[in-house]
Amino acid sequence: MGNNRKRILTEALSLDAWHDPFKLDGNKLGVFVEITFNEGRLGGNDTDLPFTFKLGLKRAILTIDLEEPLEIDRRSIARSIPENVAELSRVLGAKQKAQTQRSYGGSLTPAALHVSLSGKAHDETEVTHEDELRIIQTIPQTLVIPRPLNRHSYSWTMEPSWQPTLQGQPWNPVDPPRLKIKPINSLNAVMPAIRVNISCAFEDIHITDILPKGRNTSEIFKEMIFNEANVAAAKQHLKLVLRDADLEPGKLDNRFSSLIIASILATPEP
Amino acid sequence: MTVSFGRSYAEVLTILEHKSHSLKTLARLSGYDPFTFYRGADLAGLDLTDQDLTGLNFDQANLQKCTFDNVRYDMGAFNNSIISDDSGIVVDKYDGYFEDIRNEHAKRVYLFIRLRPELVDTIAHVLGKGVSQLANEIGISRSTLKKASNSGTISYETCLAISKLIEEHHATFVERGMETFVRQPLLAFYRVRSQPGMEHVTRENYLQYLETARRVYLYRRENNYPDHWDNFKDGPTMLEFYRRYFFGEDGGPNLYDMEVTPEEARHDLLSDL
Repeated sequence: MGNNRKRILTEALSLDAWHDPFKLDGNKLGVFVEITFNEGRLGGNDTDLPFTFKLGLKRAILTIDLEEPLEIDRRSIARSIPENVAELSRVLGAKQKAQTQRSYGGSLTPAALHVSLSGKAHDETEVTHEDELRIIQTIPQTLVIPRPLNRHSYSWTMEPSWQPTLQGQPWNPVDPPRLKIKPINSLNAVMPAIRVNISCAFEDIHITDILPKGRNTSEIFKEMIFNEANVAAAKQHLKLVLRDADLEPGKLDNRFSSLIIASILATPEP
Repeated sequence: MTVSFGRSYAEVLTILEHKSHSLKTLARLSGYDPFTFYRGADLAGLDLTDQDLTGLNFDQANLQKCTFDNVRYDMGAFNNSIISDDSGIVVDKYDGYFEDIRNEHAKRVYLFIRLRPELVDTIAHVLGKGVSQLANEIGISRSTLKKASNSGTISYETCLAISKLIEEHHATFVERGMETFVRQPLLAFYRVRSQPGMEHVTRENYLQYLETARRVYLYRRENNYPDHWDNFKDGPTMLEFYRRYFFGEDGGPNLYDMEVTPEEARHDLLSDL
């Protein structure tokens, strides 16, 4: 087994987090998180990998953990979209319906989402370009659902609305902070840590387009037509290897536990 | 033949370029345990005509719109999969594993179990013993074991005794090539209702009951309930009531404010097993 495998799942996103500096002025401290999901081709520069592939996430969970005695100010939590919970669940329901109806290999399109949202019986191909645009404009690219955990931690589930995987930034990183911390009443030399984690479930890792490296284009095209069963098994193997590389030792049996993809400490930013 | 290499990036290409399209062969190439290799895999739309899928398990795998013509597989291998209704694959109610009841909180869940009908006979056959002999060995009555073999409802304790028997004679099962038969899901969970009598409980719900029992236990610990409460089996109605709260089916608040979301609980629970 190769032991110096680096954590590849991390490359599915960029993560930065910061917070207002600790001061005893009775103000709440904002915690800010900036995430960008990128679906890039991986393995190009990595000599360990004899192939390149695309990696995306179907769903991810952001968790902010405050070390005690820091406490979350519950009223300050960023509840990005679900102004209207009924509307959100309608979108999610439509997404599910469109997904079950799509043919194999086809991806969920704004058009399909429009069909199931409008409830009309017409075919996907009849949806006009304007309808598609309207869907793209009215439904956010990423559905963010807040999930309270306890007084010291809070999490948000991020799910793409029509794309197969998460893309771009789910929220404006600066405008409302993700959450605010209650005013503190003492300053120590070592201040409590604010940890930001991104995790996902094993099933949420989405791998596409595995291509062998170091062959010229015509050779690749000749061999591109791999059997679907082989492709599915190869993807599953890669997922398992990626999972094992990302797991802490001793946790190898955690089949369906969530993987922590990225974990950083928020730094004070004046 | 065991395959000694595996579990690295190199096998991705080996699998991709292998001339065989049999899922079983490809799983062996990976170096992982073939039995669990396809758990949680996305296999939707594959043409699996004429494949031999024995010795594989597909829990939580997506097999929608697959072609299953003339496929051989172990009973129960697809019981926890995502599969189309018209697949032609037999999916029955035996979706639980012996591991599910080898949990310290299982004794606090007041549930009954039915075993896959051929299980007891298979054990007797593999070990070369009669039913009375087996009953003696595990310390239960002959009639109870008969009942278990006829897929009658048995208690958690009886099921645990049979599970221990399989564990002890694991080597014999491997030798006789019956190892994967006993690894596939074999149990169906039931709870007592006054009205329709026995009511089937899916494995997912059973795991929720288990988590519920664990939380109720922790709650009692934290609040200094007397020790004998630990041995108290929560009645099915009470447990169902707690479960609905914990897993939010009534949309009610978290009853004991254990500060864990249902999603997390499910993840924690599955990772414990």
